[in-house]
Amino acid sequence: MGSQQGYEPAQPIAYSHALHAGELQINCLYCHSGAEKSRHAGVPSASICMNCPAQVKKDAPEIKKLSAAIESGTPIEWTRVHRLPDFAYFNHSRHVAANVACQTCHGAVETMVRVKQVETMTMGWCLDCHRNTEKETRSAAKRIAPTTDCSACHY
Amino acid sequence: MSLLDKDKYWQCADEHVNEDEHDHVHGYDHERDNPPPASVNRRSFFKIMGLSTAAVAAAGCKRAPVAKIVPYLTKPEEVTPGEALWYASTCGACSAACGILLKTRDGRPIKVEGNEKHPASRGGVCAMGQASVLSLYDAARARGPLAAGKATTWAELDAAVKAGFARAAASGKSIRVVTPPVVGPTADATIAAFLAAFPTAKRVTFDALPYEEAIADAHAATHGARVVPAYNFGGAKVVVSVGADFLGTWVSPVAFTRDYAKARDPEGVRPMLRHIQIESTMSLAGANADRRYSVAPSDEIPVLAALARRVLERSDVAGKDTLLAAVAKIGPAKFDARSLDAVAKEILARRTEALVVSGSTDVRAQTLVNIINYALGTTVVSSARPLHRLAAALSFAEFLAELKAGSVGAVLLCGVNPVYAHPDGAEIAKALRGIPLVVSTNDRVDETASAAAYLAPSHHFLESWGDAATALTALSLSQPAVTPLFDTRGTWESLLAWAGRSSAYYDFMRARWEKEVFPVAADAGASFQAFWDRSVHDGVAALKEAPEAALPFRIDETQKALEGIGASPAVGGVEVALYAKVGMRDGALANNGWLQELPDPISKATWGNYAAMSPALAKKQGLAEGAGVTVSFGDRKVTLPVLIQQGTHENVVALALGYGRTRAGKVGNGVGANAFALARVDAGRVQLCRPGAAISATGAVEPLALTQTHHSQEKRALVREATARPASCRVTPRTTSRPSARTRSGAAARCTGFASTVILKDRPKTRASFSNR
Repeated sequence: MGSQQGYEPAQPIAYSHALHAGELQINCLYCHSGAEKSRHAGVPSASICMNCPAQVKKDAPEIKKLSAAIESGTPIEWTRVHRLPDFAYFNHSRHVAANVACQTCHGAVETMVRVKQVETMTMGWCLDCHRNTEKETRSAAKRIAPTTDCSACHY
Repeated sequence: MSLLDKDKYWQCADEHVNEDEHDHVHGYDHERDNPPPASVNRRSFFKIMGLSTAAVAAAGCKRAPVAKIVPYLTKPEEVTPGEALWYASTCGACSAACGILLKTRDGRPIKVEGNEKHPASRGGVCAMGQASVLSLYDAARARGPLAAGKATTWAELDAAVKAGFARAAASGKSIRVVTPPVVGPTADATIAAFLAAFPTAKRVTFDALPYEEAIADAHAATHGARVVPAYNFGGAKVVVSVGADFLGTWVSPVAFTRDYAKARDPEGVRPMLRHIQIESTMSLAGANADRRYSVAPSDEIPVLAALARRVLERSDVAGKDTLLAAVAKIGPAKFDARSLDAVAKEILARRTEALVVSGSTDVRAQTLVNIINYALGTTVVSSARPLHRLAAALSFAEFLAELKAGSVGAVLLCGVNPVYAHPDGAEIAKALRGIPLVVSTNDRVDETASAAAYLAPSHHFLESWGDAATALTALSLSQPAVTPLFDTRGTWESLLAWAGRSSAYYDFMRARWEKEVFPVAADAGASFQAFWDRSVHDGVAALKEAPEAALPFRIDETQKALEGIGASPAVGGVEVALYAKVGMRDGALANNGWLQELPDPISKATWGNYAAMSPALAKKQGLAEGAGVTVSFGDRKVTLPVLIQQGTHENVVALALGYGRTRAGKVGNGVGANAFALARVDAGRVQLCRPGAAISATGAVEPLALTQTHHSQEKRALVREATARPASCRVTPRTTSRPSARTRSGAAARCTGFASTVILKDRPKTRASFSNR
C-alpha cells in the first residue's frame, strides 16, 4: 500500500484534540495510557471519556453520541488513522520509555481538530530516526542507541 | 552417490542399506516431481516480472482499506490492549492433568505453556496439551444444544431430559452415566450428587485405552484399593518397563519425563537410573532405554510371570510360596531365559529402588507387576498415596450386557466415544438407538453423539472450572480462560441442573473446596477467600501430607486374580499390537491439525496411521514401505500402508489408535484407519493386543508422509566430509562467526570432533548439479 501521509478521515464523534490536548492541556497519556506499558497506545474506553464531559457539557450533540453509546452498549467504531503494516512490529512503550515525544511521529496533534497522519510512516522514515538518535545522544547523559536490525521489527 | 560415508550418515534404513539416496524409496522422484522450469526462458521471465511489478505498482497507488479501532465501553481493569494476560489452569487433554499457563490476548487463549508451580508436571506440557488450544477454536464443535439433530434451547433440552430421567426412574429402568474413569474430585462429587438424585442411576466408566483401569483393577485385587499408584521414576535406580511407554503416553508422561530426566542427568546423582525396556513396538521410552528387548505381546504375561518367579525365589516376603505356586501355573515364556536372568539380576540388585511397570491392558499382567514390586519391597511405587483413585463404577462390559438385556431406560454419555473407540462400536450404536433416552455431552456430533437423541455440548476445558488430583500432595485447579465461544454448558454443570441442584458448577466446586480442601490445605491461612484466590492464581493448591498407611498385600485375592492363565495357546499368524501414539492417543483430538501434522517421535510419520512392522516381517511378507496391507481377523479388517520400523518384534504388526475417525470434523475424518476395530474383547475387557492376524497385500502403494527423509541432499553432496589437522580445526569456529569470502558464498564449516573431522557444508560447484535444483 502507498503512503498514507495526509490521511484525515472523519470520525464517528467529532472529538477535537485541539480542544482537549491543546486548549485544556490534558496529557496524551491520560487517555492513551497503553502507550506506557503496551505496544498499543490504545483508544480510551467510552467510560474514560465520560469521566469529564459527564460533568461539563452533557447536552452537546457530540457528547450525547457518547452517552448513547454507553446506554445502548454499542462500542464506538473509531476510524484508524495511523497504521503500520502487519509485517512490521512496533511497540509504543519502548518509544515512550526512550522519551520520544508523541509529536515526533504523530505531528502536532494538540493543534488538530481532526487527526491527520503527518509523517510518511515508511521504513525509511523509521530508520532516519533510528540512525540519527544514536548520533544525537552520543554525548548526552542518556545515550540511546536504537537498533537498525531487520529482525527488530520484522520477525 | 554422495561423498559421505554411508555407515556414518544416513537418513533412513533404506539409504543405509542401499547405495543410493532415498529419493526413490518413498515414491518420490525429485527430477520427475520437480521438472526444471524449462518453459520460462529469460524473455518470458522478464515478461512475468514486468506484469507482477505493474500489478504491485497499481495496488500501491491505492489507500489502505479503512480500519477501525473499537475500544471497550468500559475497560476491564487488568486488560491492556496489546499485552498478554496469563492464567494458570489444568490441562484437560488427558487424565494426567498437567499444570498449564495460558497466554491470552484480548480474552482469547493463544498459547499453552507448562506451569512451573505445578508439583507433578513442573513446567512441562506435552504435544497434546500444547495443541489443545487449537481444539478450542475447532469449527466442528457443536454451537449449541441439539435435540434429534436440530438446534434447541437449554431450557427445552433440560425439560426434555429431566422428563426422560423421571420416566426411566418411574418405570424402574436404570439410568447409566458413562464417564471416563478419571474426571477430577469435584466432578466425581457432581456425579455422586446426580446418582443420589436418581436411585436407579449408576456410573459406568469407559476408557478407550484401558490400561489405567487394568492397573486399578489389579490393585483392587492385590491391595484392596482401586487406584493407579504413584510412581517415583526419580527415586528409582532400575526401571523395567514391559510395554509401558512412560515417556510418551503412559499414565502421566510429562511428570515421568521430568523425573526420569533428572535421574539420568550425567551431572546429577549417582548411580544413574538404569532403564530396561521389554516391548513389542518401538516407543519413545524404548528408544531411551539402556537395554531394550523385543517381545511378542502374547509373551508379556509369561515374561512377567518368569520375572516374578525369579524375584519371588530370591525373596522372603509373606505368602511367597502361595504366590510362587500361582505364578508357576503360567506357561513358560518364549523369551530368552538368559536375558530374563539378566533382567532379574538387575532388579534384585536394587530391590527397594527397583520399579517394574507394564503397559498391558490385561489385569493379570498388572497383577504380576504388583507381585514383582511387592516381592522386591520397592519403595518407589505407592498405592497408599496414589496418583488416581478410581471411583466405584460398573465396568463397560457390564453396561453393554445391560444395554442388550434392555434394562436401561436412560444413558448419559459424558465425554466418551465408545462407538468409535470400542471394537464393537457399531453394535453399541445400534444398542443405544433402542434406549428411550440417550444424552451426550460430547463437544461435537461425533460417532457416539450421533447415536444420541440429545446433545448437551460441553465446554472446552479452557472454558471450564474444574479440578484434578494429579500430584501426591496437591490439587490442580482449572479456571476458564475465555468466555465460552459457543452456546455450550459444562458437563458437570448439566449434571447438576438435571439432578435438580440450582447452584452453578462454580459455586458447587467452591463450596466443596471450602468444606473439603480448605481444612487439609498445607498453607490454608485464615480466610477461605484468600486461599481460593491464591489457588486460582497458582492453578494448584498444596495439601497437608497425610500419614501414609501402607496397604497390606492381599495374598489370597492376588492368587485368585491370577487364576485361569494357562500356557498361552499357540495361534498362527502375526500378532497385532495396538498402541497409543504420542500425538494422538485415543483420537479424541483427531480434528486438531497441529497434532495430525506432528511427526511421531519414532516413525517421523505425519497424517494418519500405518502398519508398522520389522524389516524381517516385511521381507517375509514381500512388502515394501508404503505398500497397502489388509490386517484382518475374520471380517474385522483394517487396510493401511506399511511402515518399516526397526525394533518392532518380528512377528508383530503395530497399529496406532486414534485414527480413522468418521465424525471428528473436516481435519480428522478419514485420516488413517480405525485400529480399535481389531482390538480383542476378552471377558468383556478390551485388550489392545491380539494374536492370529492374517496379512494380505492390497497391491496399492500409498506414500507415507515422513519427515525423517526431508532435507535430502538431492544427490548433490552438499554435506562433505574431510579430515583436517588439529591446527585447521582450531581455525574453523572463527570462520563461522566472522564470515570469510568462503562462508559468504553459502558455505559453512563446522568442527565436529576434537581433532579430526570437519564437515563442510558446501554449495554445489558444477553447473550440472545446479540445474537439478
